[in-house]
Amino acid sequence: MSRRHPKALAAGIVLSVGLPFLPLVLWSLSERWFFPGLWPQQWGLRAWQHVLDAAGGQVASGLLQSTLLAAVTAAVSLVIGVPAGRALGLYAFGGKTLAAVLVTLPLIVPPLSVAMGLHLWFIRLGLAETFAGVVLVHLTVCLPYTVFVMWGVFANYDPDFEDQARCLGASEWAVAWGVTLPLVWPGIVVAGLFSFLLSWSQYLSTLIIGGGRVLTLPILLFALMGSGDRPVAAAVSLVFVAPAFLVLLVSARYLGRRGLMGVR
Amino acid sequence: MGELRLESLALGYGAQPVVQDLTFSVADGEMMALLGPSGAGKTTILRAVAGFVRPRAGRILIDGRPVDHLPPERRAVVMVFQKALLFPFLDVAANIGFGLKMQGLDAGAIRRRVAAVMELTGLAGLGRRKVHEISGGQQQRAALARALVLQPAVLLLDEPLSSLDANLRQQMREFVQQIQAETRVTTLFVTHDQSEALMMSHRVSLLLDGRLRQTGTPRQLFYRPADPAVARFFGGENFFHGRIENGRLVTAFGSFRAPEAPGNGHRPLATIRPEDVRLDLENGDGAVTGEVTRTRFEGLATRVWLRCADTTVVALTPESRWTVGQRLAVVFPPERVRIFPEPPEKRRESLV
Amino acid sequence: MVSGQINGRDVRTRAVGWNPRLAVLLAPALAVMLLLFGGGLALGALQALGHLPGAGMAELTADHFTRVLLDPDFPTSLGLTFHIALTSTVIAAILSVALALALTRWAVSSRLVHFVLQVPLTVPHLVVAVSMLFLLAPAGLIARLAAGAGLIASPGEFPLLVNDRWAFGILLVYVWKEIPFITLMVLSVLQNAGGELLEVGRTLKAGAWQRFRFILLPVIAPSLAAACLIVFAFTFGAFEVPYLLGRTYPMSLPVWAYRSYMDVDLAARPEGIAIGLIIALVVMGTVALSVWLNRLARGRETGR
Ligand SMILES: Nc1ncnc2c1ncn2[C@@H]1O[C@H](COP(=O)(O)OP(=O)(O)OP(=O)(O)O)[C@@H](O)[C@H]1O
Ligand SMILES: [Mg+2]
Repeated sequence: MSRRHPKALAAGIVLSVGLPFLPLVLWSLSERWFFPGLWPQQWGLRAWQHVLDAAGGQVASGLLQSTLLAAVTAAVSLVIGVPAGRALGLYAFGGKTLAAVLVTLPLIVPPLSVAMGLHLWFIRLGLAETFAGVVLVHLTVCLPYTVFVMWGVFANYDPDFEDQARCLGASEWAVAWGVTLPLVWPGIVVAGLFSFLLSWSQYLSTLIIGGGRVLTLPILLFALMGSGDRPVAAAVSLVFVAPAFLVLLVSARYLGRRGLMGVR
Repeated sequence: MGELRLESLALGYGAQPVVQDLTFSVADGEMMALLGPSGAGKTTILRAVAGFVRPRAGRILIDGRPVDHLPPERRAVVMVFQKALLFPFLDVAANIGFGLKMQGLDAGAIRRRVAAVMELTGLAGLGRRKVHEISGGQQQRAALARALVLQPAVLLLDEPLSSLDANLRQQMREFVQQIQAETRVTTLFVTHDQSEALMMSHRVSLLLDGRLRQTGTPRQLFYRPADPAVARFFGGENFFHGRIENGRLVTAFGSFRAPEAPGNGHRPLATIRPEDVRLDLENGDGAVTGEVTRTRFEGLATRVWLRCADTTVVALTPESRWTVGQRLAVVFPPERVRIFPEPPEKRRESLV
Repeated sequence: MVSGQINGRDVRTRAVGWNPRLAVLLAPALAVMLLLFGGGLALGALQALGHLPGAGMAELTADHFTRVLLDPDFPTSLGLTFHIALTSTVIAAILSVALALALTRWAVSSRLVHFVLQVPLTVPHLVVAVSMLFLLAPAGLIARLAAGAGLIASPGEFPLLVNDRWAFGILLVYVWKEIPFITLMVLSVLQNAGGELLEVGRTLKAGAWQRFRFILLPVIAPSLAAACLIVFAFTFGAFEVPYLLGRTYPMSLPVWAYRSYMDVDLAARPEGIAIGLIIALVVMGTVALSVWLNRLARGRETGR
């Protein structure tokens, strides 16, 4: 087998993955760029200034809002989802199939169907247009993934480790903190990343429940696309990609080959 | 100090009973083997002693004090599992020091005691290694060291050698035995391998069908099985009914002297181990004769099947010269014939 | 995921009856799912059936559903949505299998490639859609390249690749986004079992095609199928990409649901919810059908 194949394949992958970033970078750095110019007629940092400036305080607060929302959703997902994953992965019990279907059905049902149904109820409960309300609706998307990942983790987990620690003198809390947590930690990182990314890229459910009050980055980006300011839209797009990309970069070493397999 | 005593223990999962009416004790400093086939409930018993399974009835006492109300971490008992279960996120030394750390000892004391026990278990110098950087045998030794360092009153070993290959296993048997002799830690050692139980322990308890069948020294279980099931577990193949007449056991294929025979009129079941059956070309005085129907060479010995009247007798002999069709004298040395006492209800029947 | 760190492989699930500990572990997740997910769908169904006491509508009626289902545009929208979901899933699946096979065959194990392959997973669909707009639009980067090469003189001559009849732009976004997802799912199975099985196949004198058809395909089928179902369900119900890159008419079902729901006329709201529920039903039906067909096929293979 020729040694060129793998090189060509690798180059092909890098190029196809990189291609969509090219117009974003170019547009974000252009001041004027008319057809049929292959390069902007005038380069400039106006878009980036707008994004970073006080004038674009909106972008900064959108970034903050999105980050907070995704982090809180991921944290709540883990707190609720890890125990459920443990129950499904470690034990066989009556009604397990039913519980499994209930917890994983949302994997295939689009969030817009759920968000529309919840909207009126959330208005009554005063949850509409609030941060908490949006966290709750994102939870219907993120929690199933967390449960699913942790189910897989605990299906490959040996609970005898815990018993071993107990009879070596560790209390239940010491076991949970000092044995179980380190053993399933890689799974928890993956599940947390899943939830973070899913919440991060939610648009419609945020719009319906947040009602334009919870201004996340995707909501801003959509508005910008409507306004037609391409350089700023491109810059915001890049800002929108950056944190997740950073997380991937940081975790890549740590997660190894499997990486983010399964993230959508 | 450490004496373990189980009193009328009953264990089970859900609706399924596993062990009934289990009573035995392990003396201070003793190594007791708990022997039984797969699924007999050996692990369940150890888990009950360690505090992971709540007994349905009965008590567990250590040094005479009941421990049933104590959670696993507060019992002076450490269990070593079939798998080494070394924590992958700690190095070897930290694994061994885990229990001491849980007791809140300071780092210096932990380091000293870990070093001492690593010396004892032949792990010196491996402390900084990751768990997967040591061999399977070393992992088992580390698991043992992690338990020993706590100086438990009772050490529970759940087939700790069964995942090792044959050679290593043999070495580790001697190693465990030697460590136990040195530390004199009271040990309850689970195995389904009869030779392992016989060669390693001071006493053996045999568990069959959820009941303790016999407790005794290895020799007692091997040569003086309490009932046919015990004899069968240790490789007994020859079982025959007979009648006692004047100190002789009269069977369908002949009669022979039986020193331990009960009184006249009894109809006991008797057994003799295949390796105790002697074969001879000459038909000596009063011996039974039989025809060789099958032979099988097994290395150290040859197994010979003989037809004696209507009964099949199996002999295991060092000689391999026997051939199918030969008629041989079959000798049962009287002192090797084991006559089982009849259960009371049976005896009444046979007296009628 | 931690299996590699566990000594010994036989990890068993323990049979237990319903006990309080289990209930404590499961209750929060079940409660969230029942209340928020189940509740959302149930309340949606109530509203779609016209039960809006606040708005003076309290009687149950199937009007909103029938109005949607009998709308002359409904079949077109349904068809378009199916086209988007099915075509992108099939193309992504085929390319993913090819990519996964190529990666294992040529033992491409460079960390860079695996890292790059994960990048699209972190990029929101919305951003990809924006970028495709910049690339494929009549005045986009590709059109400019074509102009530079003298192929076209004005943007109007460039073939329509976004907001087009065949939803080309939408498909491209989905294919770009979903290939890494499916590839990584397939790759993990291949890396665990593929190599040895192929060697066995060789010793049994199976040809290249036979090895693919009778060894690799069955091995990867379960995770490939699972990945495809998830991709299909997602692309069928997603809103952002068809909204940005689709035509204004016909609309895909999620876009239609959104427009009705956000309509200034609040009376259109139940209709939007009804469309949302129809989407959910179609997705669940498709998944159930494919699971059932798969079971049927497997039954036949094992001769039952
Ligand atoms: N957690 C459990 N839940 C339900 N039943 C169990 C559980 N653990 C063991 N059992 C059952 O209890 C019986 C005894 O099991 P145990 O593990 O004690 O046997 P063992 O003697 O240790 O066998 P082995 O030599 O194979 O390890 C078996 O029938 C087993 O199926
Ligand atoms: Mg066992």
